[in-house]
Amino acid sequence: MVPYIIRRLLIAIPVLFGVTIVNFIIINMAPGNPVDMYVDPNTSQELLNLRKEQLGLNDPLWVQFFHWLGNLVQGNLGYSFSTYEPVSKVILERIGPTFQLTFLALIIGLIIALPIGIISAVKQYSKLDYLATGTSFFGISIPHFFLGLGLIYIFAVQLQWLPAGGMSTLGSEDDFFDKIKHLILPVMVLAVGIAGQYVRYVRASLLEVLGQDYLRTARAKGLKEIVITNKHALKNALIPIITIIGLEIPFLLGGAVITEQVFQWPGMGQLTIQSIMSRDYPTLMALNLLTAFMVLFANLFTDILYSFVDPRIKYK
Amino acid sequence: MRIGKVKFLTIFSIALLLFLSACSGTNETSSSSKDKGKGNTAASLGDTIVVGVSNAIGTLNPINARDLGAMTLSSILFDPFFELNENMEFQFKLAESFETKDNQAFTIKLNSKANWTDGKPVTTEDVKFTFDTLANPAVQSVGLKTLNIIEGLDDNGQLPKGEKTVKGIEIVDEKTFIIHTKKPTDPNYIKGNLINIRTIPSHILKDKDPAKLHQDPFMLKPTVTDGAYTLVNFKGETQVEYKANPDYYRGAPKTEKLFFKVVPQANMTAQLQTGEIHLNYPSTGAIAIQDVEKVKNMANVEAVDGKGYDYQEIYMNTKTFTDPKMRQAIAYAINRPQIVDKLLKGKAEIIDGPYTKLHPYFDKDIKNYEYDPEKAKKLIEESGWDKSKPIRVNVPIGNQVREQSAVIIAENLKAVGLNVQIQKFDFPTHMQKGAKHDFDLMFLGIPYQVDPDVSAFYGTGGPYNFAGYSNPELDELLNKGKLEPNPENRRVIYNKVQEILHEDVPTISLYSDYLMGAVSKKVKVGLPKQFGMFYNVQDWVVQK
Repeated sequence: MVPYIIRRLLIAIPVLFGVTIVNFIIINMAPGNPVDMYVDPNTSQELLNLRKEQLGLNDPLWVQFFHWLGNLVQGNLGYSFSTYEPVSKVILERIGPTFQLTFLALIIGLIIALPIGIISAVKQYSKLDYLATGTSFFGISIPHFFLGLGLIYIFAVQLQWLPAGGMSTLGSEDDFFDKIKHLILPVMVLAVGIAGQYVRYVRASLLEVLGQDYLRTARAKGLKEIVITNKHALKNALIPIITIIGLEIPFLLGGAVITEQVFQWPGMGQLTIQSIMSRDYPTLMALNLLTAFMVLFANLFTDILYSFVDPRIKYK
Repeated sequence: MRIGKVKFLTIFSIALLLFLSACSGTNETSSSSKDKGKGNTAASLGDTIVVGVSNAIGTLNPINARDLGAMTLSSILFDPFFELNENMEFQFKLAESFETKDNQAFTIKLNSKANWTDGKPVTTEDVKFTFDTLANPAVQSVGLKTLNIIEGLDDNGQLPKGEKTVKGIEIVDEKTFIIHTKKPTDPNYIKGNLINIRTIPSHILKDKDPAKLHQDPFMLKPTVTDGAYTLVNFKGETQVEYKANPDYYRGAPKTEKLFFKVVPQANMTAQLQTGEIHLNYPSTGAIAIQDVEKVKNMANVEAVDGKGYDYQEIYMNTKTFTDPKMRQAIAYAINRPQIVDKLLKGKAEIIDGPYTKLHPYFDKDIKNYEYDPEKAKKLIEESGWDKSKPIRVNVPIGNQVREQSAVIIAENLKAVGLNVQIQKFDFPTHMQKGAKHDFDLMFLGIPYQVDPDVSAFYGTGGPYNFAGYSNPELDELLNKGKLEPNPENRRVIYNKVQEILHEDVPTISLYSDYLMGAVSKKVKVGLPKQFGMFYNVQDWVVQK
């Protein structure tokens, strides 16, 4: 097991390196640059050039890349071009809100999806099943921005029960309940999509297991149906779900770009959009690196987890 | 055990529902108590004012604030010498007097009571340090730019190699200093360019590494300031929190807390109605035109009309449209009255040139190009323009009204037989294409320029001369205008400039839209204004 993990980690290094090179090239190929954002009518070309020089933007691309890489190796992600704060600080500030939002949504989505998925599989082709699969289809296909704006209209504008956006009310940043109130709508939007997806995964996966021979044996032994589904079938049916959750984690951390925009949630998704708009290269590079890292890490993590849940799998 | 889980789920969802209803309950009670307070006592004052803006605020760095929101918010922390009011008059802030005898030496006295929040007085040492820092090429700052007329600066407003201090800034005593210019200059030119100079504390910053100053914690979150409010919390993308500076030299603020809240334009009206925002800052958070009627109908909010300061214009690439007749044709072909009446609901004025009607140098005698498609067609024929040639119209995304007006204008141009293609870009791309003159027509919003000098827009090689326009006669006039100290002589020069531009049309202005404001009726002092809004921020009062 341990040699396997080490091997996987070593393979990750060249992959990450390749990803950063590709990212760097693409980001720099985009027209415009951070200094173009400075332009006001009275700034002369010479002054702009000087600023470019100071930011190192006049160097050849490969020099810029290795400069960035050199800093990275020393643990320095550089400074944001738009706020001048250290990039690590900017990202750390954003990762918390995103984490709160997306993990809560994932948990609530699963809480909704698991029972519905199970019922729908056990009572296949019943009215309940059609209702569940139909609703889940709605959950998957409704666009986040539409659902978000709809919820804002109903709960924030018409009923005025919940705030329309943001993370907290001005002046009550530490109020726990205030935070929860702000979380409800965006979490709801994300959870609906997640639940819709997982109802279908759980249903399909459980159906496959339910038809297997060992369950027929269990039934022959005279076990109750509820014990058969919950104890014998569900455990095996959940294995593929773990993979899907594992693969989802990096995207959860990347931030729910659209939901964060709609609800002005100061998370990673919003940061990404802002950095693109202002051509904030160091922040963009760090965000990309983080996502790439999370993908690799989550893959490894799921693989390891698998070997614990499924004794048939062994890594050498 | 399984059943236990189901039970837990049920309890959980019931708890959630209860909690939801509990939330709504608290909200109702709090809003009704607010209403009561309003009816009963006028004396009970609130301790918080919330200003709504729509754009994220970049950085409060007093020497490197670049977006309009950041400049304004930084000027609340660091007082500039002057501030403009809504009639474009200069009002003293950190400065107490401004005098000159020969238009070449300008004596400025600082407010005698002005002090930093750490108790030290604001002195001319600080002023000199500020100029030296701004002119230092190693420091990342917005620079002195058009103040390059000060003695001892090069054309870019920077110190020549080897120089450490700006020669033209002379300290007389602790509170008096003199600005020496290379040549006699219009005093209003100096004042107009001083409004964005914010004095920084030299006793805090003088030993810092100039090359790293922009990353210094002080510049990210200033702690020693001299303005009416001090900074508590800065989150540029969501909110900025200020606290009253009790020792402010122009009087302690009457309201303890001041917030700036970043809200998308679409949510601004709703939050004004619910009382989450007291008033907006029109320059970076105007009320959307389609919401103005709604605001006027709100019982607890008052609408405040804006004025025409900034304007939208179209650059015509002079390399594509070499014949002025063709450029005039485009000006005639655009149906601007329709845009103003229908799209902007009359909340705008039509202008042709670089000055709006409010600008002191606006020439009233020049007649606007009227909407005349027949004349446009005739001029196109005369200029021999190949009508099949595609005309690329570059439009930046972000301003909805502008994007809609581009569609109308494209239709107008098609109606006179031209082949137009709209291309939309995000802002950095748009600006880069502009700088490379990679367009035929280019939309851009132009902020109000205090001084009439427009060489950046029309002078050969000027940073905002995206049209690539070059006219030696105009260049000479612009140079003369910049150096002319007498305002009356300057007017003659700039009238001539406007005549030439009107004839040559390297750009055609579309409209100057009135940025709309709204203010809660609870606010007793404090009004949304594009200019001078925060001059009296220390006097702002809001009812509970």
